[in-house]
Amino acid sequence: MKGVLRLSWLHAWHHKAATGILISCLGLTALLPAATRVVVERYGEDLTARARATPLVLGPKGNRFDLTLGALYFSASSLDTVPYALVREIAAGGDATPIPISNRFTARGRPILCTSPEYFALRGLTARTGTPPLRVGDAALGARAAEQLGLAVGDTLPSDPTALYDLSKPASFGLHITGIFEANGTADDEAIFSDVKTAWVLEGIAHGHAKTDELDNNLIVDRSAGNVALSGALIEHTEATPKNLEDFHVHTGEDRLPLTAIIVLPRDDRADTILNTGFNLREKLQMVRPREVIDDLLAIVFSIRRLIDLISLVLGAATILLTVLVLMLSSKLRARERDTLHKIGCAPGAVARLLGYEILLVLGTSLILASVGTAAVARFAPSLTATMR
Amino acid sequence: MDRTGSGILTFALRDLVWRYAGADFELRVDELAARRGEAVACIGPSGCGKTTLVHLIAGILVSNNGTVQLDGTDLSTLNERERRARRIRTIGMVFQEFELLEYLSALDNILLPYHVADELQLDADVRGRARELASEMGISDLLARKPKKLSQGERQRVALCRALVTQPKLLICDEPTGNLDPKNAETIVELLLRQAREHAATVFMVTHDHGLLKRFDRVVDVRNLNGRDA
Repeated sequence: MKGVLRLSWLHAWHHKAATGILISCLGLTALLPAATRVVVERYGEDLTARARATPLVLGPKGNRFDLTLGALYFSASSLDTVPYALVREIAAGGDATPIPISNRFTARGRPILCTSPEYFALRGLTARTGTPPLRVGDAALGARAAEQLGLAVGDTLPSDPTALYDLSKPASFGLHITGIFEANGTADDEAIFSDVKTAWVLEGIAHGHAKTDELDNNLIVDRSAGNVALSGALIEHTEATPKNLEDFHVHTGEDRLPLTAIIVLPRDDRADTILNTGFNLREKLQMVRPREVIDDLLAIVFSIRRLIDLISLVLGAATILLTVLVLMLSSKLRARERDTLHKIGCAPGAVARLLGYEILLVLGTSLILASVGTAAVARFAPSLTATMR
Repeated sequence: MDRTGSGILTFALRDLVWRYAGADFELRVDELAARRGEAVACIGPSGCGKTTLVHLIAGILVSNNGTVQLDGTDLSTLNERERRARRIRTIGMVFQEFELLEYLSALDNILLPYHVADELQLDADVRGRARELASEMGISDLLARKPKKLSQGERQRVALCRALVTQPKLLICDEPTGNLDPKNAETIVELLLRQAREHAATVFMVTHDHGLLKRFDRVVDVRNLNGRDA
């Protein structure tokens, strides 16, 4: 570094605390709108891509955002359930492939997505190790979930009890980890997957216990033709094993079993229209196109971004004005220095360059700081958007 | 080129009148000149115009009444850029308050004219000269220090090195000992005059310290410049 540029650098370095604060203020002012833009755009891309891959979602009437985000991102919702009979009805119609979704339960705080094997094909989920869940009590983990929970194939993961002190509610159920999926960079990486029948065990609708002819007589309250009434003291199986697998059963018709939603993959556009129109005519059901719902949601997000942009603009203007004030005060404090330089014969242009280089140094470093920060945000935006779900 | 007697004139002021706009103050100089290598002390009470005189000789101020010749050139014929260029090449300036830049090391302060003037080339010779000057001034061990870490006397030695590093023909010193104790003042003036003699530079020094006057070839009182040059 030579000449006046060297002097500017030495002055900035001599006042490193003040220079650092100024650079930080300007850098953060530039970083805020840039980072917001990156995060919102990444969030929008993420949401849109997943929504485009999900043509239709059938669920109970209610908030369409809740239904869509529940089916796409497994977020908990207060919506009612829909019966499994709808899966059979759609499949029987032959116009579409239905994929049942139940995500009302968690394990160590993560959603358990109970579904059918078609879901894994839809999302391109392939097992990195082991196999996808095939029977009651099996579970496969998303890549990030496996990493963060520290679990591997062969481990057991207990579900979170729904009501710890209420004996009438189902207790925790042990899920056997049968596989771990490759990462696909979506919400699937964070989830635990199981068979849809496991959902009904977790609901307490299906259960498993020893055969009635092997039970102690004290646990049998009443026995009549075709019906055995058991005592409430009977302990049900808390996990499914190869030995007790056949003990699991339901006491109701499978058609009435509850689901959170059904992803519907229509055969063609005509089927899409027919299914959409038909189900939306039903009193307690709604069918949504996730792409349209997400577009509406993004319109809200983008309007918020515009607000943030406006706020950033005002903050930026205020910061620039304050920076100008700081530079003016600094220039005033350096009046004597300028006078000395003038007296020894320094050109006015050199004095201007001395100040100009320092301003450029501060602005340049601020921009580099903002660029590095924005790049870091862009690098970690996928995990940021994951936390926003 | 103006010559008088046996010597070449470094500077010469004739029939000069200077007034600050809106002020009663007026400085009149009928004639004032200094030969090459001459050491001239300038005295006078506060407010009589010593600093104004220094600024006129250096071309920092320019009067339309009368002439100021520096190294044979009438400064009023030069524009601001030319005067500034001539100043940085020809004149070394030393101030009462040292006027060192706090953010530069002693060495960078010495080399300041080379950092800020495009017409001066900073090369190994100049760096060597700066170190040599510092050694002669007894501050060679202090070159990495910032002014804050130097004593008053050391600061003025750095300022003196800065004035001498361009090998000026004229050394203008505006009360350089004003902030120094008598012992330091003696030392600084001794160093200043010795260096000037070695480099055949003319010295024009404003001072209030009458104890130093005996060291100069000539003493001028600003009050006597009007019609009665000392």
